[in-house]
Amino acid sequence: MALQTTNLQFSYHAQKVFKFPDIKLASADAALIIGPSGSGKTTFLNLIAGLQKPSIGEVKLGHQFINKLVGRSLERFRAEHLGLIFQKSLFLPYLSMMDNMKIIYSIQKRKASPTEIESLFADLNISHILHKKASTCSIGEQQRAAIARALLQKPSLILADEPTAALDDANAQKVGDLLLQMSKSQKTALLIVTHDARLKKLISKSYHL
Amino acid sequence: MNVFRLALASLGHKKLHSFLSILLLSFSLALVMVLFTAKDSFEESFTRNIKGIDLVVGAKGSPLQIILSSVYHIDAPTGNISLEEFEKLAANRFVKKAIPLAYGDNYRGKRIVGTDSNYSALYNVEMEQGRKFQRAFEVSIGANVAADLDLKIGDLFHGSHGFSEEGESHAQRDFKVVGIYRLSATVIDDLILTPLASIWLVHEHPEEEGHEHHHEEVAREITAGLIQFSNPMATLSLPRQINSQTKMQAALPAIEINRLFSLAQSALDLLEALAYVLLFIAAISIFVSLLQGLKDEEPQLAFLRAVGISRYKIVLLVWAKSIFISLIAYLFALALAVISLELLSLKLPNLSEGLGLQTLQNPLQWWLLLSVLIIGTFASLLPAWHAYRINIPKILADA
Repeated sequence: MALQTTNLQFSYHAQKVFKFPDIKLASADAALIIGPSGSGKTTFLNLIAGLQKPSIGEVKLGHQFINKLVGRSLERFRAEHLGLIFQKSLFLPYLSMMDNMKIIYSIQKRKASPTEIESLFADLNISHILHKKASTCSIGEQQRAAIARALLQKPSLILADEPTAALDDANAQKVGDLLLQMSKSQKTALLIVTHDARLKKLISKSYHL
Repeated sequence: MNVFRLALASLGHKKLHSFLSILLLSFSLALVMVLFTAKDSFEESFTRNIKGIDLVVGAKGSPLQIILSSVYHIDAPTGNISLEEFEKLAANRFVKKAIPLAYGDNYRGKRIVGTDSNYSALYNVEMEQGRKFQRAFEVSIGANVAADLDLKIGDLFHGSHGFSEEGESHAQRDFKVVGIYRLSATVIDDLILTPLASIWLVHEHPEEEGHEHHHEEVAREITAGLIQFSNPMATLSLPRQINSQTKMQAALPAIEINRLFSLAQSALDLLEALAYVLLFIAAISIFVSLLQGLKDEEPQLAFLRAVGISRYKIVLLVWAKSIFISLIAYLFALALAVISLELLSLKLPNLSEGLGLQTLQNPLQWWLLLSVLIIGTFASLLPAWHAYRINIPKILADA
């Protein structure tokens, strides 16, 4: 199993306790987390990413229990194993897309490979924005670049929080297709938090909160 | 992408904020640099020019005015004294050297001073070209005079009355340049020296000149005299003696210059305080622009934290921005200080040349650079703490 969660619970205060379903995801597997607003979708994602600690339960990625990692070792684990995609793409606006990608290499302490970035951008059909400033790219382009950024990390799991919410139908379809296709070709598990019906048509496996 | 490149790019993105911080910091730093250099040079040049002069005599009036006009040539004289009285004083056993000065005329703003050869010898000024004046209407000129007025040996000119260029012109006889002194960073650089006789002849009225041989010898006057003591004991007795027994006024340069310094000191202290207030405001402006910049970039930084960048890198980023602002401001300040000091040494001939270069070589610069880095670091402390404590899930959820 690439990702396995067991009996995860979290509470901001005593009255309201979130209980989350157990998830099992093999590499190259994709699943949706679906639920109404306020059901704790983003919290679930944060627990899996190790950004928040569960009150009980475990998150296991590969052979590592993320909930047991702290500090620098947790940061390193995230850098090596997790790709993150959000509703907004969060690029540094004053850097070119190329430079935004290069930051990922330096976080992973790898030597930057422009050819790797170029071929990934070509696969995602956004070669033309490689040297544009992030702030000058359209939202659809930025969201595809965000996929490229997540894949560059060569993660074992990609977590995506509403990646298509800001996109129109054509772009949402494209981004969804690309995510699936890339996770298959790169053997990366894919977990998407969404209430976007357009994604439900593409990915059948889902967990409901 | 290393942190320092990122910091520069981020500063470039917020050009207006960065510009404002750099502007404030560089102006206050330049003010500090100009002050400490000008103050040193001001004191040094004033002290250099009274070297060897123990006492100055002039007409009754303000002793400070006598010193300023006769030693530094930056004020009008208090009046004239009789040559006879001065020569009597020169014969006193306490007096080693007595140098007469007669002035009151200028040529295109440079003062013409009648004196003897002891005057240039007092400052150890040597000739660059030509020779010292010997006869009436021969002049030896300071290095700045030659350069500023483009005068060469053999050139002729006539002086005008008073110290401003617009004074009434003396049309009678031309002065002739016979020598140019070497640059000495003393008052000589800006003076035109000639024998006393030239000054007396210029000021005799033409009708008198024609009948000179019919009259008794006219009582000769000079403007002031510089005295060197043969015995330090004279400091106590001689001034009192002069003030009570002659029509002359004695002034001790050392005492008057100290008085001047203490007057100038309070003005300089005020400017210095202003510079430090400006420096403080500049630090606050860096602090505000760092914090604002951090707030604007928070979602992006939170994302980078989420994908594994260490919090120390983010802190380093904030600090690096502050240090870049400080260093750029320091370089600007240096340029600003050098330019304004160069202009200052052109405007005030009494200050030494090359003040701009002096400020670069002043060892205080290293302290200033260190202080700037400390100011930058202090300004970045709170924003860096803010960056250290970034709440990743909350910021990402709000993004």
